[in-house]
Amino acid sequence: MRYFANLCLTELRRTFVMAWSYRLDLVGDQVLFILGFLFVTGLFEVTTDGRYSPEATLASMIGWLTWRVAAGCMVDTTRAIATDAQTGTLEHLWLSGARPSAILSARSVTLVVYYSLRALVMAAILVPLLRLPVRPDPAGWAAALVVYLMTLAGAFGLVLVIAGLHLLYKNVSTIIYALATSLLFLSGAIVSFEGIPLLYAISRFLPLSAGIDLLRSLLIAGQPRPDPADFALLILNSTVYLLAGLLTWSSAQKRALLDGSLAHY
Amino acid sequence: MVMKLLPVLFSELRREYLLWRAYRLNALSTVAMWGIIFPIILIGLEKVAADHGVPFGDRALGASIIGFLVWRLCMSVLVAMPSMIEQESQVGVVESLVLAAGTSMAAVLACRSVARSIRAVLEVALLAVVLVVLFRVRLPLSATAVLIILLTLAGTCGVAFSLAGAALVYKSVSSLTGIVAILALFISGAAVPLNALGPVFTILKLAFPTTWGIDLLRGVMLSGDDLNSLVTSGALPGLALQSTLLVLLGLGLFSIAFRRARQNGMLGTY
Repeated sequence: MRYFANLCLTELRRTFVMAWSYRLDLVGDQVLFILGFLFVTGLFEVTTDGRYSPEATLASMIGWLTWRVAAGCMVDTTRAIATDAQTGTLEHLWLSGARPSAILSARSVTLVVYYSLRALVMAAILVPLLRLPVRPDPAGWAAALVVYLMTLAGAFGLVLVIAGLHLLYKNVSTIIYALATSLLFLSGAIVSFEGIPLLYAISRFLPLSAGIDLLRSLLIAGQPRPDPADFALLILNSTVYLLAGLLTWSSAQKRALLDGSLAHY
Repeated sequence: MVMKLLPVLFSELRREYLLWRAYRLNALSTVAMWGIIFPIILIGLEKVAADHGVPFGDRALGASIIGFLVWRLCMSVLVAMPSMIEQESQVGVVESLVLAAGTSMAAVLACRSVARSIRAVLEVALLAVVLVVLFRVRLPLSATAVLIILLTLAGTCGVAFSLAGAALVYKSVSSLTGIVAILALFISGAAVPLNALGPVFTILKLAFPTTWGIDLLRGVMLSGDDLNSLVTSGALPGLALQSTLLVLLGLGLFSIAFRRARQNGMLGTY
């Protein structure tokens, strides 16, 4: 545990040093995603002739920010592996003494913290700007935090699948951009698919949908705890993705070690 | 001049075809991805409108499809130009391109943008067929519509030239270009007409290379505006002027960036 905490601290330091080095990129990225959300809600305002309610905007913001955190973690984790592979330092992860899966997990935990902080900054700007009705309910917030982490666990499973495939087939990381963009639209992050049976059913199989809907019910409808059936579905979804990720990662790692292809690009 | 460029254009067309063939799975999956995502965006918009008691009829559907197709066509060229330069400078062949070509680098890039545009037109035509069949909308493609599309595409190529210049000097610009391109679907009035925004729409029309073209195209394809009315209203000459200015600005900025990269010896470094 202490070993893992040390790894997380090292990765956290690395992430913040890099963010500071590219601070202009960071500010630009934050501004872009805030503007992006403002334009998306503006689009809904235009579509509904100015009747898009603050509650609906808050629901969209919850989905947008959750997707942003998940997509940021997915893209950055796989890009880090791709960059290591390209520069020839990927093999060092296996030679360093630390377990590669532990390094990858620590990197993901760090990215969740980093992107969550960035999402909080975005929310701190968007909520007062759009006068969104956020409920100050501690019980709901605590439950929301658990749901949020469970949702991101599913996304982490997907990262492990892609990272594993990258060890074997190289240059798979380009898929992650398409996948992350698709998730924004396919998981009902901006507009819930409730009431559209086919899309709603499909979205239940994706890693973010169930979690985002639960977050909306906790933070907008004011439920003190998540609906047990929906929460069970979220746990099942995240567990399946995590297991699939772990299996893919470990078998890909074994095969890459046997083939001696870790240092190849 | 044109005869001198023809062999370069043929080489670039061949290069584009070979690239497409080598990464055909990637290219086809991108077309398939947007063929799935855009209908979902439309269904989401329909739902939002219905939830708030606003009708989202065939005209709105057609307007969104036109906007999306022009956005897809123009953005695939806009994103490709700086990322090509970026990839080549990463591999270290930009300098070879400058040293080997018998023509100027701007001419090579112009031929490259024509080749990429032809590929983008074919991919977007495939998407258009899928969307027209799926949503059963009628989108008549007249000569005026083709002229507007070409003018809009030319303006976008101008912006792409500026970005290619920026890539020569600043190296890593493609990630930002990619995000801006995705957001442009929403902010440029492509997904939903933003004419109701009044002065904001006028600013967007003048500042963004695709907004004016999409607006005119909607008028031609959905309201039946003809060439005469567009010329007399000054809309088509306006679009032509905007595109010309964007192309000239793009070429100017590219030559400044190219000169700076050469003077600072940055063509061979990454």
